[in-house]
Amino acid sequence: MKPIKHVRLVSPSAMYAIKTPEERAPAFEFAGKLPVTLSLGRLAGDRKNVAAWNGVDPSGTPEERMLELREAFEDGSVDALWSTRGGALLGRNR
Amino acid sequence: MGEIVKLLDNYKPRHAKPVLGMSDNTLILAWLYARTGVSGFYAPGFNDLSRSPGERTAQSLERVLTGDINWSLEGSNNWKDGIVDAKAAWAKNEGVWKLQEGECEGEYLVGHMGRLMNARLMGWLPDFKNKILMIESFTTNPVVFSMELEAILNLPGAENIKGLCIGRFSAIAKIAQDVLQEIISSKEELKGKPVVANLDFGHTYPIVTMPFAGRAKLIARKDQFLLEGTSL
Repeated sequence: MKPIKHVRLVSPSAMYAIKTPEERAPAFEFAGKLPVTLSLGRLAGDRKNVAAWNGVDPSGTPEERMLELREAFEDGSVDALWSTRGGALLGRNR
Repeated sequence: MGEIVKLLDNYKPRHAKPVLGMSDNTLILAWLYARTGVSGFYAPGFNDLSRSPGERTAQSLERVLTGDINWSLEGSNNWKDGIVDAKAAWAKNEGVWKLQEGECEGEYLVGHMGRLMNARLMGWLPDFKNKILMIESFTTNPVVFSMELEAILNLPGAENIKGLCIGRFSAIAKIAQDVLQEIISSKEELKGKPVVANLDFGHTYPIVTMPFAGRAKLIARKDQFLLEGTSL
């Protein structure tokens, strides 16, 4: 398999998928040692979603989450997608 | 089924590429594999890297990212319940639980037990006949795990799986080796097949990253253990 050089972070989960930059800093620090460039999908990088998290609309609508995935899949510069977390992919908690 | 899963069902990416993720992301990995033939990777979620997941987790990720898709599970010396408990410390690992001895080799699938079952029921995965199943479960307990294992073994073809490998449980599951041994021994479909557990994948650290679908070889003997694999 050819090396993965550019990874896009995406948030397909319906459940507190978004962490603030401060909360996620250790993950970026850890991943900083890996030989990849990281970029943020529209939800994975959208801070306003953090403020929305109260069990209401934590990581966008299903359509927005799907759009984030599609954008990453269609972007020719992206080698792989990396989900920010699991949980409630099947959820109806929004 | 959930909303995004239904949306995924109608989408075929033009530029298929691997996805890294675990737990409920098993569904995305199964969908990707079914729609495009691309095997993603059962890997820690990015946010799961926030709590010092250990050198073995990093080495495994680095290996995959640099194009080496071979993996092996040996039973690490230490483990940490870091995804469940932010304050958890590294502790001595019990090593691999060889619940039933035996040997097998063949195609495998790895994922969250419940989501693998969902993917199978949605028709995204072929039946499990002759597969080595590598499963893990997160929010579970002995009763729930036993019921869910029974359910997955009742799927068509699952009675003919070659072997079963189980990722390490979080402490909150309260599934110790003797408890799991009793559960496994009660499953008719697993009689005479190798079954091992307490392996380095799932919701505890360290996490070894593996292709979602591949080939694996398992040897589980009293004095010998080997579990290694690669992609198809």
